[in-house]
Amino acid sequence: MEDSNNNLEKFFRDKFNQRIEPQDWNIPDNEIWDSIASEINKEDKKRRIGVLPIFLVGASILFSVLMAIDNYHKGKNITSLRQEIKECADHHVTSSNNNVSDENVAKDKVESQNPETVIASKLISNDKNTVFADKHSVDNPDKTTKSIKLENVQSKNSLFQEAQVPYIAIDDVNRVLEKDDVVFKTISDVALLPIIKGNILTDDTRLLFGLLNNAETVKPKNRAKNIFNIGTAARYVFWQDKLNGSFDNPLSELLVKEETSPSLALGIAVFKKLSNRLVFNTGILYYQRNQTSQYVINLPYSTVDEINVGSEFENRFSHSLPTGLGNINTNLVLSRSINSPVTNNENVYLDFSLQNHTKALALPMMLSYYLKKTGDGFFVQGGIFNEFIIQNEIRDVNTESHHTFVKDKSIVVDYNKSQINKLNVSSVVGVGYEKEILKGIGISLSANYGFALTNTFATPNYQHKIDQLGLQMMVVKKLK
Amino acid sequence: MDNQKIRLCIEGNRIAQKELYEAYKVNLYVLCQRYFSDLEDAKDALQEGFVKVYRDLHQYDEAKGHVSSWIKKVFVNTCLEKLRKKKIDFQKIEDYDHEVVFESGILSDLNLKDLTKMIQKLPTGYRTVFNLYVIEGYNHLEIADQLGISESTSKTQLMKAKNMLRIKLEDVFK
Repeated sequence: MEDSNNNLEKFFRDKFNQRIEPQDWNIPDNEIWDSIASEINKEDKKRRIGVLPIFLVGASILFSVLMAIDNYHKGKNITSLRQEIKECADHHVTSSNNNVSDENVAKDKVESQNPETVIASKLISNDKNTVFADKHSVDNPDKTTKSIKLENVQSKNSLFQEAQVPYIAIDDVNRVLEKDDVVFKTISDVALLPIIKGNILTDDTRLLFGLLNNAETVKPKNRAKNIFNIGTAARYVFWQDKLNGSFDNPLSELLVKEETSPSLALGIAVFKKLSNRLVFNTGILYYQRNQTSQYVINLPYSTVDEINVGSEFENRFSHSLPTGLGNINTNLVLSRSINSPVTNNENVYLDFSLQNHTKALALPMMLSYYLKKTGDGFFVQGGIFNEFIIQNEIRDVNTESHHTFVKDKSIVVDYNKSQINKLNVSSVVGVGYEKEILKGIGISLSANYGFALTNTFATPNYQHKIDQLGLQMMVVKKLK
Repeated sequence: MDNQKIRLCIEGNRIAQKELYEAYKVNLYVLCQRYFSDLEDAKDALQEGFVKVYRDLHQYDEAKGHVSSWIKKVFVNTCLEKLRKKKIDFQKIEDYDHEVVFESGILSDLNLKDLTKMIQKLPTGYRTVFNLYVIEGYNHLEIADQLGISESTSKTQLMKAKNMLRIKLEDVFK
């Protein structure tokens, strides 16, 4: 029985270790290979976008930090404002209700100490006839403005009468407040109600005025329609090629250096003010760059494998050379005269270089934090720089040998375009300065450094990235 | 397949990758067919296996053996992974004392395709253990580890598989 077992096992093992005749097995070649090739392409794409989530997390953290800094400053302003309001309100309560001069003193105090606030009493005016415009009335100034009657519920005394010549309530940049924006209940406190620029009154603030019930609300919807700046941008970029891993097969080819010449990028820039200190800027830039890859190729010239072509002998070599934008496949032919002295496997060293000419569009997405206020003075910035490769071509292929027996040489370069990484992402940090040079026109100068997050080209053993140092000038026009 | 070609495959050279496919496709297709009774499953495994080979080829260490052995191992693992997803049914063994004895001489008349068909007709559990033990050369401990079964289950599944194959072989030559 044991023999039988062993026989069976041996029989099957031997049978399946024999050479298999392909004609016996009907493999749907094209179908399967196409599926495999398609899957490999997907895997390549996945590998290329592998760092994108990291970059998104990084961008989110950066954004959060900048927002936190901004909110911290706002918080400080609100705290000091709240204190001043409280002082004014106390003063107001202890003063005679009819003592208008005291009230004005309090108002003036708040106004003078808080230039970013507008006192509602100013809007209401001394004759206490204030209206908040309907959207309809703002859009149609010829029509009669609808007034709003405001009452002091506690005292039951009507303080305001229907306005005959109404005022329009405006904020600090002269935008009209709609009636839905502000609703008052206790009018004695309204006189001191600050409308904080670009912000919403908090419950705490309202509490100071005893306005929690039916308290006023300043909706941010109109205020969020903030300033857009648009203009031209010029950026001079120094590229720094970074190689990781190794591409050094000493017996065949060695990548010596990759370098990219500086580029001038031109395009448009768009700024969107997010708060008093924070600006989101984007735009689109076009540029070209030249990347040169230099190799030393070491070829053992074989007299055994050489091919006789007329009065010459040839050796043919194939190489796959990585460049910053993909694999370059080369077919090199070295020829010698029949009488040229050469020993078998004599090493032939070649200097080989080629240049990639690349056209690209860039879409920066940056946040700038102004130390003083938006659009004025120094700023720090951070964000991402997305580069879309729109075209790449090989130029200037050079080969030089240092061996006298090599009579002639030719090289054919085949370029696998599918290996180009179409999107390169960098994280950018920088500093800059912005100044208004004419009314509504500002100039911004900045310097920033981009750390490449994605590889322009990668194999498991070799990765190429390209960092950038950008010097940028933008001229922008404010659009309201 | 020389080292230069393997390096080109790792670098994503499609021509070299196609060459590797052409060089090994038949053997690997037969391997996949041994593990799956359904032809479509075998084709899927062939495709998945090659994608894994290209993806992980940089992990291949030539000091540890020829690339064909490494590729074969990748394919066996791919087949096992697919089978695990399908939940291999390891049939209960009630009677494995009965053995059918056959004359080994008559086997040489069978060709590889016939044998593959016989293996394909085995229940999944028998087939998998038989392939791993007899053809791939795993031992029962390795099989138990790979399939998440006990060593004794592996042994009994193998015995049952061989008995079934003997019966099938007898039928062929009746």
